[in-house]
Amino acid sequence: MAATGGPTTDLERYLETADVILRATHAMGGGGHPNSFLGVLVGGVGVLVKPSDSTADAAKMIRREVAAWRLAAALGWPDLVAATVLREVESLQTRDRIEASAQVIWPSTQPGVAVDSFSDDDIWRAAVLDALIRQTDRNPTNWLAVPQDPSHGLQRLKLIDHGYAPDTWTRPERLPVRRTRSPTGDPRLLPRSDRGARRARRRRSRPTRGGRIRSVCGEDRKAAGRRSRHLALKLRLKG
Amino acid sequence: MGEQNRMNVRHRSSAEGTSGAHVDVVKNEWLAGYQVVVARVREAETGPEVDAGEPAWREFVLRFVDEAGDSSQLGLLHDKMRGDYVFATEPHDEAACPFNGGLLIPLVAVDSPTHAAV
Repeated sequence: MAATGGPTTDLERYLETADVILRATHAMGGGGHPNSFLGVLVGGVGVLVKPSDSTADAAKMIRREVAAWRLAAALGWPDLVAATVLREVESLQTRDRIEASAQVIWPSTQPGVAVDSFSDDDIWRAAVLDALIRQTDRNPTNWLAVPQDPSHGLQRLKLIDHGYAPDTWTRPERLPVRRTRSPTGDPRLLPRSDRGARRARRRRSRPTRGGRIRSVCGEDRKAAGRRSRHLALKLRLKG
Repeated sequence: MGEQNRMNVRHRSSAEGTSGAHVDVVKNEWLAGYQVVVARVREAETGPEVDAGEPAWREFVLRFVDEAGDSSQLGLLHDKMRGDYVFATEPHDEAACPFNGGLLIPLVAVDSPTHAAV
């Protein structure tokens, strides 16, 4: 399950295999993930354990947690998301061996700090990661500032709770569906509106007199620029 | 943000104009080993009333609650605010409050150490 190469591999291997010397739960549950609990690994590292048997979607959600960490690490941002692995645990309910995610717990945290408290670099990296994982659930409960008190040092942004990203995994009907080709490949069989759109795309992609290609993947450059700026704005965390 | 357990929690009775139902906004201090109430949102005649010791927590809760709105928002808070590190309880009366008028609940060890993978 570990990524290939690098110091994160050793960390992941440790998280996957280290013995758990203490388990503790909150009387009122963990919050975001029912039945989550604190696990203390040999050596004293605290991890947040999310079992796969807590809800019907839990098995998918814990994989998304791992995916978010792996992507952040692959992007070179292992400071943005807590190291997370899949491992076997004993169910608190049934005592059966089940799958769970285990992620390192951030110390000294403050949830929901205003976005403009963070550096532009942190915000930009969060926006990029959220775009890549199709995060639709970013709200003040699932980002943290570390350390908790800004007088103790520069607060850095930490992203948590990726069980719903990508959201489309559970709700594919929300994906924008756009037919670009008829089932037979014959454009004449496309609905009239699609044929018009195709002609418009062809026109936009023709070279201009100066020989410059105006199109960016079939779009006007200005329109593409506007769209990407709009997307970047939408992806910025709401403060 | 300071220490949350200095929060001045006002306990109001129905006679004072509230029905008693409230939502606790709880922070999970995983490594410290406890849950702490950082704010309480009460049902009042004029709408939800946010009570937090620290202004920052009040601002945090107000992102989810409109004090000028109606008290039905209380029922939705639990669904809106459910992070691993901070979440809202379901609305409950004072008598049913798991914090029993206090602000802290410690973590409870599940079982004795086994020195085996859990």
